[in-house]
Amino acid sequence: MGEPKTLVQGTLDMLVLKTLALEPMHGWGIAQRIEQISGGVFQINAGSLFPAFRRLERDGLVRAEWRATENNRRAKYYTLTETGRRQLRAETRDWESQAAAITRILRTSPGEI
Amino acid sequence: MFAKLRGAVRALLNRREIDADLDAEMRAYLECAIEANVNRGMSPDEAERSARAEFGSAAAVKEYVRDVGWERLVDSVCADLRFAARAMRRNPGFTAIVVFTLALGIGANTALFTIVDAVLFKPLAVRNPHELVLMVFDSQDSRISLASGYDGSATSDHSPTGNLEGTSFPYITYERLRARTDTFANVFAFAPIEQLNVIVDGNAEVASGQYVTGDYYAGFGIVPYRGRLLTSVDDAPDASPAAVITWRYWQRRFDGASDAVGKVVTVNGVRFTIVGVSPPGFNGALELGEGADVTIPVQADRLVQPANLSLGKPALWWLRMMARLQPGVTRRQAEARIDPIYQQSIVDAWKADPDSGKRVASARVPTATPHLVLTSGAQGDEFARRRYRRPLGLLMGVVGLVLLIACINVANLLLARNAARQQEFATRTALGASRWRIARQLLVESMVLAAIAGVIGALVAVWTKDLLLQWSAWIRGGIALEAGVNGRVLGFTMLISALTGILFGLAPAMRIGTLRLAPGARGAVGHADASRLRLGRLLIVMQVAVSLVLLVSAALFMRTLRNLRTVETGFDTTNVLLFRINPQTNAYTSATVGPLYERLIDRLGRIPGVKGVALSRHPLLSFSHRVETLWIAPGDARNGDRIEINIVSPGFFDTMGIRTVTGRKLLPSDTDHAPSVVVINEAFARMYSNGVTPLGQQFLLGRGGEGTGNPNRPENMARPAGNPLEVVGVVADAKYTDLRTRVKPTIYQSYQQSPTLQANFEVRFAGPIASLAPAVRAAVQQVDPHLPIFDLRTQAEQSELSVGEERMFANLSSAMGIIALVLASVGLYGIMSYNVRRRTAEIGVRMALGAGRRDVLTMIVRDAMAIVLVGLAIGIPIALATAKAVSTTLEDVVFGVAPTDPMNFALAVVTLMGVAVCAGYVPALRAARTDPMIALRCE
Repeated sequence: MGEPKTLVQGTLDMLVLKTLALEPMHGWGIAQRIEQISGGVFQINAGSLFPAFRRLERDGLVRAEWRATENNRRAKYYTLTETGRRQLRAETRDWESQAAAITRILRTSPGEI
Repeated sequence: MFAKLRGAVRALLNRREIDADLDAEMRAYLECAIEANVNRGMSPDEAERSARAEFGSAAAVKEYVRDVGWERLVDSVCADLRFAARAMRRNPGFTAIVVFTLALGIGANTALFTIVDAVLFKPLAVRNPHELVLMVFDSQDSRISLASGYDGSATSDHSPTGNLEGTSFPYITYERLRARTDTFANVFAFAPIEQLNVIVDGNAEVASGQYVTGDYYAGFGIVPYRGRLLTSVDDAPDASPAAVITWRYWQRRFDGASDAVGKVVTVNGVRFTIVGVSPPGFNGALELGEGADVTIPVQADRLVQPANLSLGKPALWWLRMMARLQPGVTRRQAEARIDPIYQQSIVDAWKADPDSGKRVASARVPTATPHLVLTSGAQGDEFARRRYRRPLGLLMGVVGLVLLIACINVANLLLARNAARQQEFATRTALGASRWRIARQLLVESMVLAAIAGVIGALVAVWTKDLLLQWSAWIRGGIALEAGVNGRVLGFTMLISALTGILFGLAPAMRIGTLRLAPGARGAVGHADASRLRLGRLLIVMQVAVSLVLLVSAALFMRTLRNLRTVETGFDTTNVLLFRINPQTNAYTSATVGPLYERLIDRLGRIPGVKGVALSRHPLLSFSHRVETLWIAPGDARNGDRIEINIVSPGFFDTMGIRTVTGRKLLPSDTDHAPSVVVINEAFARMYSNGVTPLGQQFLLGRGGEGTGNPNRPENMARPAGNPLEVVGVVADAKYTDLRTRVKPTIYQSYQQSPTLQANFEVRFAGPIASLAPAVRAAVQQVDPHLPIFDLRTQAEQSELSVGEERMFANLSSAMGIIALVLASVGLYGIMSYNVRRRTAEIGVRMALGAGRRDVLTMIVRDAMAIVLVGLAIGIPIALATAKAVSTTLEDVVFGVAPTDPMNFALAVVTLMGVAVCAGYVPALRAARTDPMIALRCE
């Protein structure tokens, strides 16, 4: 599964939720969107993406329905639910505070203690 | 959480739909990717190839998705189950042997557990049995009933702590506790009645009975099966006599006739109306063996036992008490509240009894203060049952060992089969299955086998339960136990099935971890083969060791039984028919009972084929006896000795074949007008005649109070009231209570000089017994049609009855020993056959090089013997330790044989060796017949 290793464990779900917060999207679209926004840092592969969908759907964070794409294909679109929105807010807050803390630790120089 | 569960269940149920949906979604994903690639300028082919490469294996993605939920695990276990079923169908012979072996072990365990459950665990069939408490007194003074002036038929027992505990109470205690409605919702009491003479439509028969207080049925929360149950209205001195019968008695005596309710029957000469039938499954809350066919109110005591009125003796401890706690009150709280009330009540009871002063010379108030303890009443008065815990536990151990052997056997069979399946395992490993996956598969297979065996075992238990009940006659009332397969028993079966599944499945499954599973590696297969043989041998060694333990125990119990059966009884147990009567139940008194006995002896003696008729207060070998206190002379240190006594008719010694040593027998002329005489046994003469002739010696019976000086010194004991008894004869020692107990100093007194209100008749006969029993019944009926006889059996049957517990141990342990032997020999045979097959080539070479058939035969048999010898070497110390532990735990069972008895071990070892030779001989013979040429060509 090579690529996703660069993704911090457990963050894929959060990224998917964020993507869906912008607009409902289908599987490939979500993968593309994450790649684009991350500037190609994150390459999402199907082997981790589909289990993530299953998890999110099972936990009631997203809702799925088949719809036509802009190119008139049928695809399974995922929409964020209210629970999902709350979950995203909570995870974002957590993530930001953790990231800030980690950043502070990493920037610490010997004299500061 | 709920949503998750629902999702998972849906996932399991609509797996195909969900799969299709996932397929479609992945297809859509790919199409998007391909389209994007084409837009980027790739050719359609190239676009598709690139997209697929990026996507990876669709199957793998699906696996990952499935891994998300726990449905995945269920799913794969289902697959394992299907696979296991296929594997079992492929090899039905193997499956049958494994299932049969395990079913035998599980069945034996379940069957015995139904008995254990009925004796020790089964709660009463009443409303919320776990709210009930049984009242128990607990006294540090173990001489409570003698020294302190308390009296009663305490069902008492020494607890492990050495305290005297019991479950009987005076009526006053019941009255006081009944008033404590703040603590108890109901308080009720009951007491067994030994025999009731119940006459229905002119037919007199003995029934078991009990007294109950008014709240009894309400307290248990029982609804009537027919009619109504007794209430406090019935339990009043002036109430019209009413009785309730159990469902069982209703079936037996009335054939379940609906007109039984409302019928008027005569109970001990008093007319009672049967007002109702209690529901099936409820047989009272008395101890095992104390039935309650007929239940009557406590106040009816005045009617049915006027000569021996318990209610008239306030200090008598005779009632068992139970209660239902008020909601919210704990047992400890209740104890704290009622203990002082209880202690006051027993003192008041003692003071209220007019006889109390007479019992102890100094007439002082009792000083010992027992405490009242509340124990679980869920099983009723289960107090005496705890004596069965150890023997039953030991029997469970014996049967458990057989299950262990069965497990070892099956483990061995599985090892052999797994060796044959190595190719399959290698292939599966190559296809990506982990070792854990294969091991899990094997465990699932084991569990399936164990589950099937468990089901069959439960069926076996249903069938063999009745046989075990027959063997359980040694448990008081054991034959009447309502043993059956219920929820607890099924739970037990499931538990042991699961345990066996793990036990025998684990070794083969673990070995998967050590196998080298590279396909095609022939050398590796050979290596695994050898190591499987080693493990197989180890298992056989264990089996031999466990079998030895069982065989040694079996020998211990079988020799115990034989020793008891062949013990010198001192009388002739053959061709004697026994029966009992209780004339009190038909209004006889001490004055009228003598003529009745005379008429009966005379009438029975005229039955053709009868050689002699006698009676005794206590039948021989029935665990019943009477003990008296001896008083010889003032200042004699032997005053106060406890001796045994039996009241007999003059013909007793001739009828029972007890030899006269010196002097004369009791004679019909020894009436109440003649001088009081006794016949003593040799043990008595040895102990009390100081070497001179005992004839003419005189002594008295009874307790004469404490006299002067230190009351605990026998020589200070005062002379008891009454006439001295003179010794007129000495008879040979004869066993009295049971076969085991050494004959104690015993005296025999004539019923004409010491009237007895209960009697056991002994009828010596020649010819067939079949016609005798009805003739005896008819003869008694002729003398008094309303005097029922009971316990009709031969003296030989009585002897066997007295060794019932020992027989149970002997039967069960030898049956288990035989099963163990069969299993061990099958196991040994299997491993030897396998060994011979594996060594065919080697044997061929040996024979080609000049080894004779005899050498080959010896070689293989010696190999088998080596395994057995190692097993014996391990087994002997274990068996020795077990035999010692058994003899200590069951010191009242094992008789006349030491745990270390070399004979037991010799028997067991020889049997095992014999079986080993046989099990090794057949494969050895096959090996010896090997044609060297064919053997070599095989390779």
